[in-house]
Amino acid sequence: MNKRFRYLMLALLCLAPMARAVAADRVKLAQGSQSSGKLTEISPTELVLEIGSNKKKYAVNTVEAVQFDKEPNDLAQARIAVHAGRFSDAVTLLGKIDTAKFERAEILKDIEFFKAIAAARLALAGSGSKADAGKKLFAFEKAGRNSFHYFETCETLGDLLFALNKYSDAETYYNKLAEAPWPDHKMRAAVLVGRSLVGQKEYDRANAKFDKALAIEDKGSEADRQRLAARLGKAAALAGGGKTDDSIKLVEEIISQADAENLELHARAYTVLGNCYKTAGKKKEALLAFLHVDLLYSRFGDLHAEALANLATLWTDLDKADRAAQARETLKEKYPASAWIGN
Amino acid sequence: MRRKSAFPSSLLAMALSAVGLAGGGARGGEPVEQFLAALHERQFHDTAIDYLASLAGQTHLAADVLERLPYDEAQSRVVSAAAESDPPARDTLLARAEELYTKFVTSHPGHDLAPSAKNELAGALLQRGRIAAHAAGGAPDTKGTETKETRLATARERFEQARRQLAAAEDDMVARLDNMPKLVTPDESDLAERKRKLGAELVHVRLLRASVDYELAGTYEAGSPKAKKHFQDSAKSYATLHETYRTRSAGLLARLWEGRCHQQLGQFKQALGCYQELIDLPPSPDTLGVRAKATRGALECWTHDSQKKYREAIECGERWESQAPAAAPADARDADSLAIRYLTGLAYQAQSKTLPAKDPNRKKLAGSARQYVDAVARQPGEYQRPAKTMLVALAAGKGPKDTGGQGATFAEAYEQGRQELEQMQQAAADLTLARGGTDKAAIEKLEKRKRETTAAALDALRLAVNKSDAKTPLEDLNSARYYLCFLAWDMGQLQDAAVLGEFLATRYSDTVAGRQGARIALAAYVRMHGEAKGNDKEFERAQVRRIAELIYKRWPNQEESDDAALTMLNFAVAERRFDDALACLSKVSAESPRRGQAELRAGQALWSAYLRAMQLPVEERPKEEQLDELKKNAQEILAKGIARMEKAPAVDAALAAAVLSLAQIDVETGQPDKAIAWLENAKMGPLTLVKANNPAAAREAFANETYKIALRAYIGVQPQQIKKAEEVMDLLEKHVQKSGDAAAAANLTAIYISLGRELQQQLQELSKAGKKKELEAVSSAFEVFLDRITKRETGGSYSSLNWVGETYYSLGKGLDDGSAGPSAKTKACFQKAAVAYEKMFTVAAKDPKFKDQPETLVGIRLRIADCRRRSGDFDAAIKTLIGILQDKAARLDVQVKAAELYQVHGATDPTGYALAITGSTPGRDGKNIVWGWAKISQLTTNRPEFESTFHQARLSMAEARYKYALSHKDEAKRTKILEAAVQDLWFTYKLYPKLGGEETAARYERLLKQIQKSLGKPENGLTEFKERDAAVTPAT
Repeated sequence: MNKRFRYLMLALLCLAPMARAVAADRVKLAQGSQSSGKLTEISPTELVLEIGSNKKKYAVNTVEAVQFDKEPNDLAQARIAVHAGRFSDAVTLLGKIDTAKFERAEILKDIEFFKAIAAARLALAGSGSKADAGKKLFAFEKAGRNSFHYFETCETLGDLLFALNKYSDAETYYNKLAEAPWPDHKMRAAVLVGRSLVGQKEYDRANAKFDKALAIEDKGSEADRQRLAARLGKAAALAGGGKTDDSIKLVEEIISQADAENLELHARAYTVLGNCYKTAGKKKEALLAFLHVDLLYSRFGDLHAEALANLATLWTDLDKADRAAQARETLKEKYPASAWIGN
Repeated sequence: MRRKSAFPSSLLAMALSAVGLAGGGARGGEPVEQFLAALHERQFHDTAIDYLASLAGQTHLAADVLERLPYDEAQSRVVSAAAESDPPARDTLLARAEELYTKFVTSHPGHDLAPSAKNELAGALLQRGRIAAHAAGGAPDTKGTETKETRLATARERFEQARRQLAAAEDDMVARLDNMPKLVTPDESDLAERKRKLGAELVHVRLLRASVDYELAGTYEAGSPKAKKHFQDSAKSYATLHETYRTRSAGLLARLWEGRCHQQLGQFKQALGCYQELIDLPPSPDTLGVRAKATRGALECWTHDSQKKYREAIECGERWESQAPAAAPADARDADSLAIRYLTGLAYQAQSKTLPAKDPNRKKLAGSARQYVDAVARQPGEYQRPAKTMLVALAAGKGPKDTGGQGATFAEAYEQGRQELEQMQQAAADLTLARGGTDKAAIEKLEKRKRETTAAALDALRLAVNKSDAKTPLEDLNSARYYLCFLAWDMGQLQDAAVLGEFLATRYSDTVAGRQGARIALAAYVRMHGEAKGNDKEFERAQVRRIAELIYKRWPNQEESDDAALTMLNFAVAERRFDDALACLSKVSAESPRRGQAELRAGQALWSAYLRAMQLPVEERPKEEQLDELKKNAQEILAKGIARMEKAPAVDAALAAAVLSLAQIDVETGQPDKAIAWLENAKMGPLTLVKANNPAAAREAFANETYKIALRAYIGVQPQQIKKAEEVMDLLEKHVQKSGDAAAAANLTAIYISLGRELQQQLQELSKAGKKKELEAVSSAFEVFLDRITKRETGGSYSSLNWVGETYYSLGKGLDDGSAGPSAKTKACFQKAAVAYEKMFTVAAKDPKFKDQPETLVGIRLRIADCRRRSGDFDAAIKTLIGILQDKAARLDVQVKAAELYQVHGATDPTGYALAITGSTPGRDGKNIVWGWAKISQLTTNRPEFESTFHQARLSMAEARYKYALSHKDEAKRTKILEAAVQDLWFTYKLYPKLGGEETAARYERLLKQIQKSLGKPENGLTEFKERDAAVTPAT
């Protein structure tokens, strides 16, 4: 099922309470089906829905969304907005909710979660403070260790810390993600931990983590994506260890194998490539690699900021002061809080 | 009227759509298409080209991507060329695009893109033709290799090439279409699409073919039969196309161009017929473009000086404007919309002028004119400047000067600045012409005019820059900055020029202003370096290097880099940093038209350095290997430069000088035959050029140097070319005496003397190198020639005899290797020199002009004496000196020489020592004509101005006694004379205890020790005198 259709289904799900007289919590699965009932148990790994006299268990990694009985419509809309990447809309919607009117703890927790996650995603895309978003998420993580959003919270906290160049702290949260029982989470966590280790210049350990990710047996397109991401991580580790030629070769191989739609992987690949060339003193090649990120994959805020910072330097080195100024200006304008400003 | 380019279309859109042709949806791997499109969209055309170059040979790329790389790169270059404002840079981009299209078509003739590539190739050729045609209107290049005619010829050649290319492309497309099924079923959508695209390409090719004659017409003088013929041919082709594709957009375009051809032919009625048909098309987005162009064309016709149909023009312009909301937005910035507005404004202005001054409608019409052109003046384009000028003219009640006041806008101040600049340039040009004449009043007036217009231009442009804001067109603002930079340079405000130029170069390096700014900045820093006082020029030097590096980086392998490298080369040469000069030479690309020039400059510099080094005293000269290396490098580089430059149609001074230097090197290295070949080269030989009075040989010393080298070469070659040598000698004398001034004879003498010295140096070099055979050959060859000069009846000129004498003298010195005694050959040389000088003295003595130059005559006789002495003929030598002293007894220098001569003669006849001291030859008064050292020392005592002569005399006297003593076998007598020698020295010591300073005292000490030794005393030198002095001086 394509994404657009899934969002449509989610929207219908949100509208449903107004149309129906029967109150119920709803669980929407990633594969499309949904069930209604009463959520009786919630944990980071499992949800239990009481449907009539039956109790049905759902692994959290199979759940697309959960909607609570009598939750505010704005929360439902905000959930859709977050899934669709419209984080500003989500923040606005969530801001309109008068929390005093709601008593159910799960609803209040969900509001807090979506406020925190929307702020975090915005910050990662360059809008808003990463530190402020991090504080919100951290508060949620502390108070919501039993939340079914727990692993997503840990991963996003890791992402924020990573973006703040706090690689060691990011590693801590990615390791929490690795505690999830599912292979796809474990694989993703290994890749993310590996990246954090690359950030800490611990290339051997990083390489081992990427190998660990590659050794996990899992099937499906997401697993394939993670495998490519792990190989890309290995390339970054190789580059960090000074083997830039090997790294470049590997990245080019990954690019040629990656699905053209896997934009994030491409963005990362060209970032690694740019850094490899930069390390090797090949400024023109580095420039071309970072330009790929700037021109084709600018939606990945942090990578885009990194690319712009590098482009500003490389254009200067290649004696294109006007283009360097342009890159610097875009960086300041789009990512005013980026750690790459002044780098 | 200015010609418009054929089929203005967005090259970017074309390129991007062409890129999309091979699309086929997203695929894994390098996203070539998307990335290229994004680069072009961001205007990073140069980076797009670099990117494609980086993809070549990458094995991980798909075969189809690699296959079309040349095509994609060519497309990128064409897009880049469209954005490039500098014509030579645009031409370079298009030339490379041509190569790449050709490569693609040759490698993949069956590729779907092949027809498009052929089409584009022709398009590039047409563009390059236009660039050459446009350049023909500019100034010829400084080397004279490109004139208006050669540029026009290039343009025509390119247009004809395009014609051939288009014909081939059309044939190919027709054949492809013929091979496709006539009927295409609905399920064959791919085939249908291919057929459609090919059909569209075919129409495009046909339109381009018809444009070739239009372009060619523009390369001939307007109204000439050839221009008319091409316009007529083009009109016919377009008319045929219009008939064929009447209902399609191509047919409408053909009609438009048919109209343009008629317009160019002055057939305004026919032109307007074509345009009117298009203007009346139903308004729609599809017809907008062609209607705009037709409207523009019609307005051009109506406002033409021969038509002056302003009412029709106004109606048409108004009609266009009234349709603007539907047809073109009111703020449209495209060239046609701006042109329509300007021409409508022009019609209003012209119409207003037809009314009486007090007619109220006149002001109204002028107001409408202003309304129309106001928007045009704010947009860059063809009509911006005329619009600004018109606004200035329309400014009610204000003269042009007033518009530059403090209240002026950027546009007004800028326009004012431009006008003042144009007037300043006119004044400068007039001034150059005036300086060639003698009208001082006119010169002063023009100088004043230039100063005034420069100051006014500066004021206006500074004001313009101050008035600029975010809305100011960047191109204009940068032009204003560049003009300020240029004016600062022109006025010698080097700091300002450098700073402004560098600002433009670094911030706007992709613009013409940036390129020109870089050049001025570099030139300004070089001049600042030259003008810096004192030895510390490090700051200026660093700036020069920095800006040059910037240029190398920013415009690698481009004209700017080549020019910078050439400047840096000159800079390094001026500072005698030859390694740096060679490094600069390597930066001038081998393909650059400046490469040859740079090689000539570098080669000349190295050769001059060699010659300078050879002038240094032996102990200060660089090592022999270094000198050889210098000479070898000079020869190689000059030869390369000459080989490159000889293809140029005209010879310039640099090339002529280089050929002369190479000939000189050949003479120096014993290869006179090669030197003669260079000198007599029919095109660039220095002798050929001098004889033909070629401007390349006009430099003052060039002819003299040429004759000198030629003389040496003709004499040195085997067999000798005596006749030519004599001819050259006559030419040399005539050339020098042509000036007719008093210095001519002295100049000629100086030339002959320098020739003799050069020969002497060559002989010494050959001797040092152990090249006895060559040494013998060169000296013998000269002797033969010199004897001939001496003996020829008409050869008795003072100068030529001087040269013969000087040359024999130099030959003698060159052969004298300092061993035991002069060889017979050496003696013979000095004898011949003496004979020549004696003849010369006879000539001079008879010449009345030497009556006023007694010193010259004395000098000749001294040289005769010297030659006689060196040839071993003492009697003749002393006789000559006595002859001088009989006339000039008080000549101290001659007295010294006579005493020296006696002293030297003492070695063979000890009485010479005695005569050296006492003098000789009593005169009528009984006193010796030759004074000897005793009288010399006596007369120079207590005469500070003769201190060195005094000490020379005292020392020589003691030395003469010492040597005279040694010649005596009688010990007692010898001892007595030796003691007399000591007494000579003692008296000197008593008179001058410091003995004339350290150096002279050391000589006294050396001599005293020798005498002490001969007396068998302790060799304690001057200590003896100090002790004796202490003993006789009572202690106080």
